[in-house]
Amino acid sequence: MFRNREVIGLVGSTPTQLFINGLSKRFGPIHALKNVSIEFRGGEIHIILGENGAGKTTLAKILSGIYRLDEGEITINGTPVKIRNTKDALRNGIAIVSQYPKLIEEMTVAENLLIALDYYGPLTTPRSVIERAVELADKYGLHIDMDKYIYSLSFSERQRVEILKALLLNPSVLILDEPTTLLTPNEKRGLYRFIEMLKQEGKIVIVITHKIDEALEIGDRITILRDGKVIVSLPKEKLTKDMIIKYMFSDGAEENKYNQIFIRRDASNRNAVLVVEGVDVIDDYGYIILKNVNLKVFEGEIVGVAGIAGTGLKELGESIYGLRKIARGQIVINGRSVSYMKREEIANNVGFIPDNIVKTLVLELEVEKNFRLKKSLWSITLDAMERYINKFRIKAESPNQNTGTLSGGNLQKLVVSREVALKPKLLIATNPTKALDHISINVIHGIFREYASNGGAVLILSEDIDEVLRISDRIYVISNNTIKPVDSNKDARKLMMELLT
Amino acid sequence: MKLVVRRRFYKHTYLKIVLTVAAIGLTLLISMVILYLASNIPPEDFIYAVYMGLIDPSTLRYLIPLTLCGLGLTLPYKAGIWNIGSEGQLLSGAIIATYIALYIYPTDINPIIGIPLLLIASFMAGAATALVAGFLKARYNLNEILSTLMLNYIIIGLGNYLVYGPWRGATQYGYPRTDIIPSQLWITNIEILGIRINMTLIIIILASALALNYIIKHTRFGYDITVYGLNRDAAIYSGISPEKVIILTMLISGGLAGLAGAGEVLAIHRQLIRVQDVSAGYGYMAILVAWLSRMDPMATILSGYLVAALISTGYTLQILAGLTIGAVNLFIGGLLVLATALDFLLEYEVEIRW
Ligand SMILES: Nc1ncnc2c1ncn2[C@@H]1O[C@H](COP(=O)(O)OP(=O)(O)OP(=O)(O)O)[C@@H](O)[C@H]1O
Ligand SMILES: [Mg+2]
Repeated sequence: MFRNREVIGLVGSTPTQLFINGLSKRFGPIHALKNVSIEFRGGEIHIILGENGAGKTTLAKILSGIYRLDEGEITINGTPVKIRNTKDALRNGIAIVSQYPKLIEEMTVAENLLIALDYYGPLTTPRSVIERAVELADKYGLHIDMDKYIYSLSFSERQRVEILKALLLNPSVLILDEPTTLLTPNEKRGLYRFIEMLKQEGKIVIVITHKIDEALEIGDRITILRDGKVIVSLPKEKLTKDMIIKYMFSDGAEENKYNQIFIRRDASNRNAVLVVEGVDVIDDYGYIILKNVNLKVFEGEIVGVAGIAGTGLKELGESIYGLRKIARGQIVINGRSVSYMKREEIANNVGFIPDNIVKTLVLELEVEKNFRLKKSLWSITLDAMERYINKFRIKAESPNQNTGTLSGGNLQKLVVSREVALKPKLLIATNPTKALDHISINVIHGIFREYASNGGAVLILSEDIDEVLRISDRIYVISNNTIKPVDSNKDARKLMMELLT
Repeated sequence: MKLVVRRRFYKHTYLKIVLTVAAIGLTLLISMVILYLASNIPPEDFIYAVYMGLIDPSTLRYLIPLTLCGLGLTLPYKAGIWNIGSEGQLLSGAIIATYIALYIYPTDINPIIGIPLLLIASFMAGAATALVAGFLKARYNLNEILSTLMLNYIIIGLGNYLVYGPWRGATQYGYPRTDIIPSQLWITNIEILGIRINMTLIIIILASALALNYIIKHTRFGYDITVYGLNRDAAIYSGISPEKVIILTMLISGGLAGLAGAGEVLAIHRQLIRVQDVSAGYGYMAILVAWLSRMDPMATILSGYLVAALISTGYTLQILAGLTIGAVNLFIGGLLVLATALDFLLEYEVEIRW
């Protein structure tokens, strides 16, 4: 049935070797990759580690034919290959699972997978492709309902579809760009198992990440990129966390100065900025996803809500910000009910970092224009803006750089810095450090703390338990369709883990 | 040989100009070949007609309604709101101007107040027509392409009903047209350097272009329009009101088309005639004008002039070579296709490798 498989140039189980030599890439004035040489070996999980804007995604896009290299050479099993487009990459057995799944929302899983038909011969039937997909899903534990529409899928399900799409092409090199950013702990373990299986089959697995612990946990070999240059490329055993931090960041040696320890404070005698009373939160399909939510945030404190993706975290934030109707109860910000406030009033008085930051950015416009998106920031001076850009360590050439060309983590920081610059009374942050590197996370946590110390009220909605534990004065957990307070002093981590699972 | 296509990092301004000129040049070239092959029109005649089109005074006459409507369309198009109702909005302006001039004003109305009031009323009539669609979109999310298009048919029907029916002029020997409006209300041409120009309307066009340019490039509202056009989610998150963007862009757009309608009545026809003769599709061609300028109001004046010149050329050819209106359609259609196709080059660069 799959006699056409060899059409796409597959090598079965012989370990492959992929060698890149002297690779450079410029985007106008930006030198994203400088003379990068790396050797990837079959049967190895190769981690590309680097801070936000280091050039990781650019490297992945070159290997998978999305960008073209300016200089350099790519060799597979000793023969130089030219990768000019994604077809070339697939012909050479290189497939990529990008950070944000690019699937067609209004089509089913099966229909999305049929894109692979292009790479099979003309005699392959759609049915056989789907059968093959089901086979692969069984083999790798990537179960998914083929008839579901994409819009009804969670992030990790979408990622599974992307992975299946890549696997259908039977690649010998699989690149995963920040695959675990949006996964729950369980889903993460599933993905690690899958990566391990590919490795056992002798494939080259390239995993891009900025999470140091993850790199040390799953990698065999780690290459550290900084400013578009390879700093080291070593087997994992030769690296420690401290060494990695030093290599990853130019100021890595002083990373301690960012690494504050936060002390919990009691602000309950102060004014409540946010009061959520008996609220039922509804999801996109009109079902109640959180029942009877009661929550207060006082001036000068950080309240953290921890929850697993898909259990109502993002919907809670959107309800408070007035983007979503609530079924019952009321939400009051500074004594005013949200349901009576105009959108413009909410936008200018409440800082909001959504789960999907791209929804609050206009990628076609300059960084500067994006900073001015909310009316109260319309006339912020360029000087003030640059101070924020530096404070948040945003890697941008200038405020005139096109926003769409910033790296994923820098986009995230841009949104966080903008919402902080607004100096709102209430700051709602959904997974605020999702795509960020080690030092950036510390910097942003420090900024939130500073912000609360100056009287701001901060509500963190996060899928990252450690983040919530670290910076919150008070903690809630989403469990059984509602939120429950957790005593932050007693064994909070254990309690949270129990409630979350 | 191989074609390599890559996305550009910058959209260069010079490219916009080069590509627009190239689109027009190619359109003319292709039209020349087609007309030579199909109707045996010698290329010299064709070139002469094009030359005449560029300098003919009648070009200025077409430029006025085309540019006014085109200017109006820049705002909604920038916001991604596809108003294709300029035709109907123009006619509303023409109908109201005629109505007030004939039936409301005393016959000896002073033009110093009479003309400005007529212009304001026609602006409001065009705006009101566009606002029907704007309201339906803002309130019920009704597709504006459908509503503006249908409104065109309604206004066309209304206009023809009026000239064939209740407004048919007593002095018009039974022809379907109204009486002539009082002569002091006519907007007349003045002669500058031997060219007869309708100064009033040209000044209105320049002022509108400057104002729109300022709005788009230097005001918060212009920014709101841009953001709404590029990412609606971002607009909503940041408190930009979609209703305000829809209503205001439609209002200005319809108003300018309405002004064009008053211009046609007061400066050209001096009465309301069958609507298909009032606006020979200016409202539709204005879509092309706005598109060619890539929603840049200052460039709209230039693109308005170029499209007007093509229309003149078409008419010259009709007279020279006995062609039908098809000649004009050939240009307009060709230009639309080529401009859209060449737009690709604005965003992508193509490299030819041997
Ligand atoms: N299309 C582009 N045009 C201009 N500059 C770009 C483009 N793509 C990337 N860059 C720049 O190249 C640099 C590297 O970006 P890249 O996306 O590879 O970073 P990254 O290592 O993946 O970072 P992150 O962890 O934040 O995702 C950044 O400075 C970025 O702004
Ligand atoms: Mg990246």
